[in-house]
Amino acid sequence: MKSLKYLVIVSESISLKEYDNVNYVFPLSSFCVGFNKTYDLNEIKINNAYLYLNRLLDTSDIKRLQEVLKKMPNNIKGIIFEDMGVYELTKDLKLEKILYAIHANCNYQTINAYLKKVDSVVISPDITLEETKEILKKANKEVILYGLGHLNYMYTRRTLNSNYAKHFNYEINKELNLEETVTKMPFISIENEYGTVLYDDKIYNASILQNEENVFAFLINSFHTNLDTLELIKAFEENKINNSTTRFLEQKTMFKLK
Amino acid sequence: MIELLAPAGDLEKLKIAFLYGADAVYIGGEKYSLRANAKNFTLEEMKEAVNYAHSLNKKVYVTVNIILHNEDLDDLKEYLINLSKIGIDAIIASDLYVLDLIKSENISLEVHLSTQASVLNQYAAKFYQNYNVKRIVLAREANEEDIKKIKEETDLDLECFIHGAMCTSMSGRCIMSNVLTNRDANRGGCAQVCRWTFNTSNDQVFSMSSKDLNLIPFMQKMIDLGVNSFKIEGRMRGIYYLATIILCYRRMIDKLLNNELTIEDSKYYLKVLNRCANRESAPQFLNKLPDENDQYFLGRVEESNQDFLGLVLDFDEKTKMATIEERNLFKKGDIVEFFGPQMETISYKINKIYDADNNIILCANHPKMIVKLKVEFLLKKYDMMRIKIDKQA
Repeated sequence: MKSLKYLVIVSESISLKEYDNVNYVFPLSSFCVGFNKTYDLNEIKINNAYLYLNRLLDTSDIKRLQEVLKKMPNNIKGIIFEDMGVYELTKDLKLEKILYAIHANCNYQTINAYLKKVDSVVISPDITLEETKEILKKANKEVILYGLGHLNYMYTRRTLNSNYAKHFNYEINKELNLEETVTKMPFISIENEYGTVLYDDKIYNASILQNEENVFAFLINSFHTNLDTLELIKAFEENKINNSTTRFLEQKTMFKLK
Repeated sequence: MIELLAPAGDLEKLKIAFLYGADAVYIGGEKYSLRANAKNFTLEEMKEAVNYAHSLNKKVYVTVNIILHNEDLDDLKEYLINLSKIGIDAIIASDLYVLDLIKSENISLEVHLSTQASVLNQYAAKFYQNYNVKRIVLAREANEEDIKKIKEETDLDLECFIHGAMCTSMSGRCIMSNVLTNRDANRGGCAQVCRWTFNTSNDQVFSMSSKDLNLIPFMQKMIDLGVNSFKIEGRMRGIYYLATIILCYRRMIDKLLNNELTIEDSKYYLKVLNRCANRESAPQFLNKLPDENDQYFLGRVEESNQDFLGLVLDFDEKTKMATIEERNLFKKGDIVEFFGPQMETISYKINKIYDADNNIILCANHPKMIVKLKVEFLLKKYDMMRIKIDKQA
């Protein structure tokens, strides 16, 4: 294993063994979408754990979060979040604060603006290799790269899987395999009571960036990989994983048709 | 005072929007706008738009709401300064760098936070308030409790979408277009993949296409909650859609504020709005979570609308002859109606149609052909003729 630092998002496949260069990230119950299993605070026993809150929070969620923050145990090192309300609520707490605004951190100036407030930012994995490298060069603090895992392509507050099942009188399936009808591209649709996430069926692999500088850590998402911590890290460091893609690292998007 | 805020894809639409009752419009420039493939405005056109709007005591907001990439950064500061010099009334932005730049460089621009930021709670609102944001365009997912709490806990103006198309996703939290078409959704290239279909292991295809938004039943409630601006979606829409939607909401708001809006009025305006749109509509998130009844399941279910029959180009008060530019076929014997910002909607039976050379013809069947109708009531330029919509259900 190299001396890289990893933040590993926990799922059922992770056995939670402690390693020097690994911190575990727990999708927090009531505050996450796109996971089959989430964790209550009292289930998180490991030291230096991070909490993951990837939802946008409404007023009732905020009240619930305020209750959670009152009970914050000492083994929680930091939080990774999307909603800036979480920052406002936690800015005076001794927690490492990491912003993962999933599709919004696509340039170095925006990231630097956020870095004035938070400890680190996860660069959006929606951009090219060149764009990523430029951000790494110009970011004012070490940032986090999404290293390995399925990419979240869409997050909706709607319960799409349930709606589909109810409309056609199917049994509700919280996890659906989808295939876009024209391109035949496969996706995974994961629903919980807070909404639905559409993931890429392939596993995004940014191994190509593992030797870059100014990286605080690589975020490794174990969800739906069936791999344990060391297997994931090995796959990343050796750039060997089945059904993987570099997606936007090598696929520049356009937006003007003229 | 509740503001009626309408989209304007170009100068003609901007003028129609104001004529039909919008208090303010939002427009996009040639860069940094989430409708990259709309006609959009040059800086010169923006200047003309602002002068025109201000001459009517109305406002122009400019969207600077893309998610910026490195390559978009170089000209941004100069662009913002130019917008400031033009005298626009506010920009609509969500990227923190835009907010930070305006604050740190003291650029004289009022900032409205775009719905792309998806604000749903008072703490997120306060975060952006620290960047001198004056108004927040709330997430379309905001419910009554969210609006109430944000209003109570901040002194921000609140703007809410009240009508138009919906993203299936939380705004800005979707790159399905990027994946399937290589078109960057968050830089204005969205291909609306949420209107597509997906195979599953079941017989029926999976679909997630949302019905449109309309909040007619909740307008009074939203005013009571402290909403300052009702926003209509649709910078890519045509003039008939804009005129119809704006006029309906203008009249409903005016009646509401005078305690004159009846249930029958609301039903009628809803009927007009529904005819004009190409999808059904629903209140979506304000009072409950949308369910299977608030979306479509068979891919694109969009009907082309042929209600718009003609645009009034001129009216001769002496001869009572209206010059009409045809938009959809109409013929002798049709019962139609005229509507416009200065008139009540009036039914009219077409008895004679004259072509541009004053020859009697039986029908107007060529797009944009110029015809004349003799009309016994006063019409004005930019009034419109459409298929008659019965007041009764």
